[in-house]
Amino acid sequence: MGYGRKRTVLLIRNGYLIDPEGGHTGPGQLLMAKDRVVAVLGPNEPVNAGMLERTLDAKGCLVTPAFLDLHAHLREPGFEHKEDIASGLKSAVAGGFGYVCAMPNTSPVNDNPIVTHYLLQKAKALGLSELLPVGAATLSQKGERLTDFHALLKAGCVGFSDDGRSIDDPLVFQDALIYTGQLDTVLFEHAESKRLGGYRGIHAGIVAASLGLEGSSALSETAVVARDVEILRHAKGRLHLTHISAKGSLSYVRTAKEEGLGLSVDVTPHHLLLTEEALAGFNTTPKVNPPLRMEEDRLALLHALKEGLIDAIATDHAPHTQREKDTYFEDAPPGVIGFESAFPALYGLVEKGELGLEKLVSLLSIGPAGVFGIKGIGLKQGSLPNLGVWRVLKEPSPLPPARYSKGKNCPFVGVETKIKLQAFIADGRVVYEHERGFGA
Amino acid sequence: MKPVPHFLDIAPLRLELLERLIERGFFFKRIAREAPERLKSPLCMEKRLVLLFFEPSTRTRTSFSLAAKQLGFDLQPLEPGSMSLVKGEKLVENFLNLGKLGFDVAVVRHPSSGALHFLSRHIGVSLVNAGDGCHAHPSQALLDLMTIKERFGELKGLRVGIVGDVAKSRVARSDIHALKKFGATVSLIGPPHFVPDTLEGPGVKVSHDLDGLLKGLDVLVMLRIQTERAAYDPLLSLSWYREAYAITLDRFSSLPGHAIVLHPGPVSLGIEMDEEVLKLDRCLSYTQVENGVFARMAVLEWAMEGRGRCC
Ligand SMILES: [Zn+2]
Repeated sequence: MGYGRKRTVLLIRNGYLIDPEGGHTGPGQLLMAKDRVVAVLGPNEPVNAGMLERTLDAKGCLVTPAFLDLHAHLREPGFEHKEDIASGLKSAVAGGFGYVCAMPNTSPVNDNPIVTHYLLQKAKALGLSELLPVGAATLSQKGERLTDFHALLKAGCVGFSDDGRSIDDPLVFQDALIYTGQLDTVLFEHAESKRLGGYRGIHAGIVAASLGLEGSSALSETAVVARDVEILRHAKGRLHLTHISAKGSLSYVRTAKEEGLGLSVDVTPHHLLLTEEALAGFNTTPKVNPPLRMEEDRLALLHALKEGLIDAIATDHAPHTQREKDTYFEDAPPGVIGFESAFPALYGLVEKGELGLEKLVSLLSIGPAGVFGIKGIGLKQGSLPNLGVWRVLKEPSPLPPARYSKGKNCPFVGVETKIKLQAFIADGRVVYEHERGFGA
Repeated sequence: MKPVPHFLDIAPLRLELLERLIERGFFFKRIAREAPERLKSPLCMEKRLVLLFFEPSTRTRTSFSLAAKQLGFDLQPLEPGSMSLVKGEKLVENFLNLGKLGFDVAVVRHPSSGALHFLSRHIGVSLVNAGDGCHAHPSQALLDLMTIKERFGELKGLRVGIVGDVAKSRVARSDIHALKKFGATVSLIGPPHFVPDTLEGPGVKVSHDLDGLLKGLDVLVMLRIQTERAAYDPLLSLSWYREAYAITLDRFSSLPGHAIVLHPGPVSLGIEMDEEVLKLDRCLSYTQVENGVFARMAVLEWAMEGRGRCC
């Protein structure tokens, strides 16, 4: 046997394994150590594991690698009433996310190594999901002077972004891209132009027109995407466009990818599942930037997803309290939460035959991992020992409000789903179970 | 919180209610002429009403004041002053404080679309919308309906053109909803950034050519062009706007002989409308002002129906 007795701690039996790399999809067993998946076995293969801390019966469950979220707001430091690292990472685990990119728009902004260290220390002490800090691209995210990419990378940042806004100054944007090439990192761009009417949280479509709200047109995104691709063509480097929302952005993405430029993109569950109609009646919950757009945009994103043009699904988990969202539309902060609802809501696409299950799992795991070149996410011997165990329900049941996030702004509450997270394994240990929460 | 009637928006109102309010408006108009002492309504007497305008207004504010006084309301003059543009939570808090003074109905104008819909979820007092952002100005729509109906007897089948910055006009939005309910068809006319295609829908067409439409209109609603905006709005060339969309005597003569012109006021003379047009019999902007008081009386009385004092 190729695995040492002492180091194996957990056996997962009777599960249906979903390996996004297509290797081991089907019934099977997983034997885990604290540092890796030790063995992938057939359903009836005898297990000679010696001292097991635990055996988890995954009958009726899908077993997936832990997901990686490229885009989340954990709000700490500075906005702990909305979320903190503990509540955020618990919520991530309860959504099957084992790796979470934390955007830098906190207070203070993560634009220097002190903040980066703070985040990493806090997260490490929890022993839940791994926090992957995204450093600010410019000081205080003002879009003026670049941060010290080198120092932030050394501190543990995985990429850079001024998320929440675009880098408007084309020269600053170009310089940032040049650095990504030199330092082998990635720049995340929230492509939306304020000057062209972006950041209004509602699409400039029929719903905004009927409510008398000024909306953000697709142009406020596509014009920035076009510029970004053109600058990338000249500066080289690595660019990741996050939460693409408009159909018109996709042609630029396609061109850039065909040319072999260093471009990757993600879309969010809300842009894949909802449209501007969700904002009817001044509903502030689904107010997001960039806004939910039209059905034709949604379908184009879904199509691009299937086609392989889109690299990843990212939640843009952006918690706000009930009180903050309960106000008149223009006063409401933009953002929805997404960790706990992402997979259950997206699973509806699988149920409807609109997206393959392996493809969906891939877009939440190895897809986003590929953006940084992170290796080891999967269900193979030697993979990272972080997994989600998902119970497939016989009857659809309405998605409950988020259990762990402090944010109450989930647009999918009440949506019927046929899947829920049964257990989550981090570092080869069961850290969360649906019935027991984190208490076990 | 027990439900209280709010008058927030034309869109959700049933046609029968609108018809009733219009008839009631005409009733008040008749009584005002015949026996003004009978205008006071037992539903409204001694009831307390506040006017809260978070945005400057003379006409609408005066109109509501007159309506309230004639119905016998105890009118509370309140200046929101520093309350304007506060966060939603603070807005509710301020309202609840006002509520402690005890009032039955609040007539509110707010610069943000949907602000009253938000308030109505938190306030146990009847709210009457005197204009919220670019969203709705339902009492204006009601007085426009009265004015048009008074002239034509029937609204069904009328062809109405609304000219101006429709995208930013709460008057236009409420007029559109109201006119559609009565079976009129609406053309929205102006340059593309004033009348985007997203405003189009069943019974509502978007056009950038006023001259081409004049012959086929029964009612022309001219919206005010805010000249102060032109100073900083690079999209708006006043001379060009005037050239293409102003109602001049010349254009007026292209309208059918029975057609009328409305304007919610105040008019930017020499911009969207010429003084000569304003003086014509078939320009009914003064009738609108007159009807405005009666339409608002109908609304305020309705808001008091079937409810006791609260707050
Ligand atoms: Zn974000």
